[in-house]
Amino acid sequence: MPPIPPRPLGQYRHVRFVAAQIAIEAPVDLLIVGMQEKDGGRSGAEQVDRALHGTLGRLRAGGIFTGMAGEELTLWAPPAPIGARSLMLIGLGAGLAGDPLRIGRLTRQAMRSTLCTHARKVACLLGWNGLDIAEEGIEEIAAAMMRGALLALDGLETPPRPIEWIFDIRNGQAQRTAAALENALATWHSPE
Amino acid sequence: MPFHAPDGLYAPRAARPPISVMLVDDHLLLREGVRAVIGTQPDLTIAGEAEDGAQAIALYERLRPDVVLMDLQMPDMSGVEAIEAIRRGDPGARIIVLTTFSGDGRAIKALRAGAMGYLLKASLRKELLDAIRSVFNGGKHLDAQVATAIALHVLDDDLTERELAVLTLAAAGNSNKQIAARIGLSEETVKGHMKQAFAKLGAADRTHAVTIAAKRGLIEI
Repeated sequence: MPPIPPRPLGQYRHVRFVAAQIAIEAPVDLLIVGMQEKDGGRSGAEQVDRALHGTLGRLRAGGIFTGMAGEELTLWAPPAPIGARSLMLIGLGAGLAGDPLRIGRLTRQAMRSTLCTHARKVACLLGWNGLDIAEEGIEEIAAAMMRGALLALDGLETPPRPIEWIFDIRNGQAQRTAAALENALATWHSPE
Repeated sequence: MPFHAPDGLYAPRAARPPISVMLVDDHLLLREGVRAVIGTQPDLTIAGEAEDGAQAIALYERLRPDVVLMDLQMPDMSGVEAIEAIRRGDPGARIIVLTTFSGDGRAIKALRAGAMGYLLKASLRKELLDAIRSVFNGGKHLDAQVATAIALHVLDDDLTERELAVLTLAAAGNSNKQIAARIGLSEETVKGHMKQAFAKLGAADRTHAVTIAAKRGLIEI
């Protein structure tokens, strides 16, 4: 896949959103990946797991992290080649099958959990590869992810410290995905 | 077009009290250090401190803190036993182990006893604070070095109580004959347990087996 330059999407409550092709070696504070209950072979976690020589798969097989929907495990200071200071696994359950409501909820959870950390630069590799999304569902899923993140920000009493939040666009539809993320942000009105 | 949040995605804002943290460690200096770190955070507060497992269980029952930071090696009762007791009384108790032991043995025991986090005492201040907040919110938090050690062995066959007892006595310098006399078995049976332990640990001999078991935190010497 040819490299696509990062695309700024806009800012909301001190969080600057960017769409980019996320590399697991990227030097971010936090890398967020989704992991299914069973080996899907294509989720973000599977790629990270290969880089970690199967550590995540064995943790799952041993019941330390099962991949149940919404389950969360943070690993502090993962080894190379992971470039992030910490790695957050979020359980995708049996798979999301392109369900916008569920992917929105999980993105909201990811943002809420991030807000509890010291992370300033966050790469969200939560979905796409493991989502089995039909091509016509790209915009709806992208919008749900952005809205999930924005809802978490609306849950705060005061704006957070400045954060750069990077959504991954390695789903083969980078331009459409980025445009949908940008549009969801631009049209967001706080539910208050 | 303004977006209206679908049902199930929106949670209203709500002010919440600080996260209350209970410290359990027999070293005063460690407790003072953690107390000082937590004292700088407006959303965290120290609910109480205990210096051994029995105190921790009683204090937890009285205070019901949001998060417990638990040492593993304390006088009278181990941290794992204290975690089990606290979780029997409150299955929702959120406990983070804060220890010097990076081996998989103690970590797996602690996590299976219900610990939600496992941190090393060499952890950075930021890691400790992130872990407290993460565990309070229902997440789990592991030092990656510990996670790697766990992953290497979590699918291995566990050593039996008897195999661990034999290895512990071997670590203290006992011969098979002496071990047999100490635990009331025949020398042949002790040899059998030792062989099983070698195989499970991937050890070449008894010294190697004891070294591996101690390093992994399976036995205490």
